[in-house]
Amino acid sequence: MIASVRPAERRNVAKCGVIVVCAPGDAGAHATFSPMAVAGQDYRWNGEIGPLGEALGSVRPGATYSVTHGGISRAFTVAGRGDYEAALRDCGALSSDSSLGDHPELVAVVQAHWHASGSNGCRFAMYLSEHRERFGWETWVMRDRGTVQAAASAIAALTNSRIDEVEVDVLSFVLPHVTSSSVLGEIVQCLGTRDGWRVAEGGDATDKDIDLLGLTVGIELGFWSEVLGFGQGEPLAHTRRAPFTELAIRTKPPRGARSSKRAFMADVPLDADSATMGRWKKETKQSRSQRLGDVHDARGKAKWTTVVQRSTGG
Amino acid sequence: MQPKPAPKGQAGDPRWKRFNDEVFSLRACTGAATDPLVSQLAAEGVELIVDARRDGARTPAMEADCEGAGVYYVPAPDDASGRVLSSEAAERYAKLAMRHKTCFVVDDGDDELLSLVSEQVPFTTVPLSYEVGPVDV
Repeated sequence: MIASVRPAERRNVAKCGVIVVCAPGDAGAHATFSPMAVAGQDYRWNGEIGPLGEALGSVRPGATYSVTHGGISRAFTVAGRGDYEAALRDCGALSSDSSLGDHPELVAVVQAHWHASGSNGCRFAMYLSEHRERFGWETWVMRDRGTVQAAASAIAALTNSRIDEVEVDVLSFVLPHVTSSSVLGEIVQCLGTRDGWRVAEGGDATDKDIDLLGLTVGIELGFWSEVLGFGQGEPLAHTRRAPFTELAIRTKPPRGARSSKRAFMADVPLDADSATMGRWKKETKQSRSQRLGDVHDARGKAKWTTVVQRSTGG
Repeated sequence: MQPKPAPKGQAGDPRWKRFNDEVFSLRACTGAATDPLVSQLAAEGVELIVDARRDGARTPAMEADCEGAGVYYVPAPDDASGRVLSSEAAERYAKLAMRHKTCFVVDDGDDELLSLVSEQVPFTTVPLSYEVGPVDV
């Protein structure tokens, strides 16, 4: 019986803000409950930014970029990993002798805060990331497995075990140890060779030195879900440059049938009325075009997971 | 750098339900044209049809009509009559019904499928009736 998915019971579980830690290679079948991450293990987080929100709200964004769109130049400031690290140290959540990347419970919250801050250019994603329990965004902070192949295998195994869970609408994997778009590209390519996954390649007319990679994964009802990639490195679209490398999967098909069989984040059911959804759509379109401009428009499209620069491999 | 709070009254509706807690059931309408049937179900807001009728009752036209109406069509296997329906299949239909407004089309007198699905999730089942009008020839 699918007892855990009954609406009333599910809400109660969500309020507890449980954190589940699984042994390496374990897909969750023998999960144990723990308030803290355990070193050397993958860390599952399906909570909300909550108590750390105030501390992270004081983060001072240190990175800037400028974009020209429609003849108007705009400068944006965004918070990077170092900025978040400083904010967490200031509030005592991170000691001076430890690194943010060593604390998966903080990694997960920082990445969630980055999405909720609007740096990804999507108003819907902001709201979604701010209310993860309510809308079913499950994040796994992955331990370092040493090789691209091992990382891809672990992601594939967890995807296989979690993608059909009814309470999971978005499944994402944060890889704190992956700090370049080239390695993310290798992981994407590796996943694309596995059963149930596929990867498409494309070019970017604004930069011949760029390859676009579009990873999709097969989900229920014959749909293929587009996987969004985030991370670090110059070739990535401005809206994809996040404190940590992450692959995010929309795990379910849209409510209504669609002949294209494409599933994507925009289908996640939200509790906003149609007027709000319409306004957010306009805001997203505007934010996206302002943040991406003409140069990053293609690489920032949802169908492309990540970008690889041919000359540098990154 | 705080996330923007959603304006009150426009998002965060406490009445919002993420999952369905009811399903529709429809007794077999053998001989009925599928196009108006599917159209009417779509008009009722049905997003997914699980067709659990046996043997020859199912027609390829039903699938095509569903596709045209933007409704998912999920044919249950021929042996999906209650006693042999696997728990995996029942769980799958239950999960689908939680996410998509679902109508189970079943043979007259066959309640096994719905009861197995309801063992997975205690849905409220709303029976639908479909009036078959005269067929022009």
